[in-house]
Amino acid sequence: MTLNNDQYRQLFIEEAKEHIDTLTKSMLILEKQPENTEVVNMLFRSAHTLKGSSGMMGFKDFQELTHAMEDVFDDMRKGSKPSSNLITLLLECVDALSQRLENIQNQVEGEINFEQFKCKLQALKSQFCAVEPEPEKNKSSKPSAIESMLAVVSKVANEAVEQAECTGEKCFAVDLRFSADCGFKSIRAGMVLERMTEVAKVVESVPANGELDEEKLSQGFKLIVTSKFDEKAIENCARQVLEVEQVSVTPFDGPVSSVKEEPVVLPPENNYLITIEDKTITKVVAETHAAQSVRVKFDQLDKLMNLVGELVINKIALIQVTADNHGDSLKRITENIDRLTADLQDLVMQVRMVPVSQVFDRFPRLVRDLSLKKGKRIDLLMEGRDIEVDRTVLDEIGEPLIHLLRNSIDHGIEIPEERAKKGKDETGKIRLAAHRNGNHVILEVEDDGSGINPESIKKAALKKGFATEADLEKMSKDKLINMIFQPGFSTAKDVTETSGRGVGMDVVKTKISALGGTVNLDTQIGKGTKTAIKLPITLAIIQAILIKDAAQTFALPTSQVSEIVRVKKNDVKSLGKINAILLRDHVVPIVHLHELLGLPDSGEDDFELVITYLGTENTQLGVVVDSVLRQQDILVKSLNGPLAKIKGISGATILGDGQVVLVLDVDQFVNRVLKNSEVQ
Amino acid sequence: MASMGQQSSEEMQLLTFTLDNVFYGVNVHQVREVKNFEGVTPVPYAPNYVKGVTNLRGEVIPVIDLRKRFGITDKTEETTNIMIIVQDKHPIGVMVDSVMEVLTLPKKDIETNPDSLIVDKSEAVIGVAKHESDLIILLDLMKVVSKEATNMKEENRGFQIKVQTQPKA
Repeated sequence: MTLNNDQYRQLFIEEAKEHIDTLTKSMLILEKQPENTEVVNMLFRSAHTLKGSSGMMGFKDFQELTHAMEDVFDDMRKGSKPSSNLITLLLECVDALSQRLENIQNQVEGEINFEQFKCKLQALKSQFCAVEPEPEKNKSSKPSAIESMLAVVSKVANEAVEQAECTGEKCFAVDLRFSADCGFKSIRAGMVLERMTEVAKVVESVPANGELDEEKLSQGFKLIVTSKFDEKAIENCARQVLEVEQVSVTPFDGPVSSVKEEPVVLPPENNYLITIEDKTITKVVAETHAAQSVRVKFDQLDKLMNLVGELVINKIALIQVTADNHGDSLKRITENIDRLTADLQDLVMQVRMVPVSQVFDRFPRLVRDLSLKKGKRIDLLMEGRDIEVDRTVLDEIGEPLIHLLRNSIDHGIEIPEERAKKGKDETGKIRLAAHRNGNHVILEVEDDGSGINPESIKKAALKKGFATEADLEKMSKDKLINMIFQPGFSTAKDVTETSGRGVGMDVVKTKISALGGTVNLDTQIGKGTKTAIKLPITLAIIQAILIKDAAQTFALPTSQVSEIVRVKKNDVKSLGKINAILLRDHVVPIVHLHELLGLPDSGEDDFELVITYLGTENTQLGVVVDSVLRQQDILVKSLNGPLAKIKGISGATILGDGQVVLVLDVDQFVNRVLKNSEVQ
Repeated sequence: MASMGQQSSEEMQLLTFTLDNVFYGVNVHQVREVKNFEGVTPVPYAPNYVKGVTNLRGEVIPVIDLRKRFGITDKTEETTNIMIIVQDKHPIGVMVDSVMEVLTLPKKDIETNPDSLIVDKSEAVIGVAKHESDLIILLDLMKVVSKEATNMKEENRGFQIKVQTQPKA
């Protein structure tokens, strides 16, 4: 049967994504703990479910590959031990599957050729089958198959009944039938299982959760549950799932008899063992899904956020209007609205928060693959996976973190022999941690590798012409190390090899400062390197300074501004090509904003100076503007379409009067101007 | 073309507008709304055919200058309307001199193989329609604002239309 209904397709895609995640995670656990049978079962179940649902959707290639994978997992269940090669291959298969899934989602037609994976799987499989030819041995003393099934069911069920009595719950047998022509029985059955967790604890299901085949389900679906609710509640709960035609809930106390009445539901093949092993999984599922929540689409949250942002803007306008008006009751209402909007805004921000684990959880795989490739042994320790940040921030931190992790793997952690020589543990450690600090989140990547040698940075800096020997002599160690953040310093290959570190560090810095954050690097030769990224929890609403230049209003994030100074034209000293001012005996180079923006000069005599940080907190630049208007909270909206990727403009905001104002990222503009002048 | 699929097979509804005294038409389904031209904030370093950004009920949307897009060098500012189209779920504004009316034309009056009439590098022109004594150039607005077109080099931007004063027999 082939179903192509959009709704089913979406269901399938969402379900498949979860299973693909499970496969990846479980495989990484399996590699570390080859004895863990529960993980193998989880893998088998996921592959099996994917096989079933993809087949129903008519994605034949998908089905065949998952089938091949399922076979491999089946062998593992019978005792074969997976090699690292096999895990790698299986992970590649998972990648191929998720690629295919993406195509399905984007409605790209055409099957992907999975043949090569299937062949390789076959090859590896025959290898390990040859090495361990004793899959069934220790399960030799099976009595009759049905008896063993009954024994297990009754054992589990009896335990459940006993337990239920202790806790004051009752035990029920639930008998479900789907309407004959309903599609996707396996997914629906899964939904029933999930729904059940709201009112009851599922003790046993026949067919078991991993075996929810279309064929078996057509004969019905039976559950044994314990619950503190009555029959009616359980029945109502099951009926919430569409196409459930018949539900009967009966008190359950003697498992043997009830199972005997329905011997039909037993799988026809000799697969009883699956049911037995899967009972643990069913329990796990029942427990993990207990949290009550709803799924909301991100773009709906964005819309909600936009609306609240509008409300905030209008609230500001309202406050401005009523400030001149002395009516007491009007003022009270305005104050109430002010408070309510603030609460609403806080709440919406909270709802948009997502745990960093959504990004972090990709990394164990990345670290594993890279370290294998480099012949290194690395443990990745993650802390603070549950720290929450706004989704806008989460979307942006993945790339910089990958850069940092790569650096640690490529250049930080040494190969095992070298580590042994140095008296370190042969297995290197990378620590990835998130923690919260007020309105900021701090992300740290720390390795216990070789650290950065300032000498090699000196060499590279000289070679690239970033500094003269005399400059370098004067530089503090910190300043020297921070040179790797300079654009162009670390991108070239030869630099990477000689300096031993620094791939894309300028990329990291650029990205982070564009987000209004800072990067700090701390390194000790021989001991390791620690990079800390500090970011605001949200990017959506920020504090900004409104300025006017070239007859246009702009917004600058307050996080980029260190102070505001009023200067006269003749305070400016010329240093050849560059102008500068003296600020408390420090020379601060200055640049006109309209020059950065390529706009005409407005010809004002007096002007104000906004001192900004450039990336790191100790580089300052004065930006000359006509006037500084005020500071206020703004809601940053990203620019789309042809304006999506203009460097230096991080978005726009709408002021109380409806005017659109651009939000600038001065750092990026300076880079742009520097690059242009180099070209000339 | 998918965007044209919802109309009856014999007729087509066009929203017509003028630009530099030439009539253009677009499939009404491509236009979400029309608003008056007001308050566009210029964006530094934007592609030259992007006039800036404007506020559409709390959304910040880019506004495309169709004159620049079509390489019309005449500097007179006559824009009175912005047509709002939606691309990849993002609304985009398109500046035109003024929006005229919605016409329902029989398909037989639409010449969709206008190779002989038009030199078009962006494939934005999809046909020419006859209406009374006027010729209306049919545009695919999605192509006009598409990403590929955005990446076009300066010298390739826009197209020339060899509109003949006498329609073909």
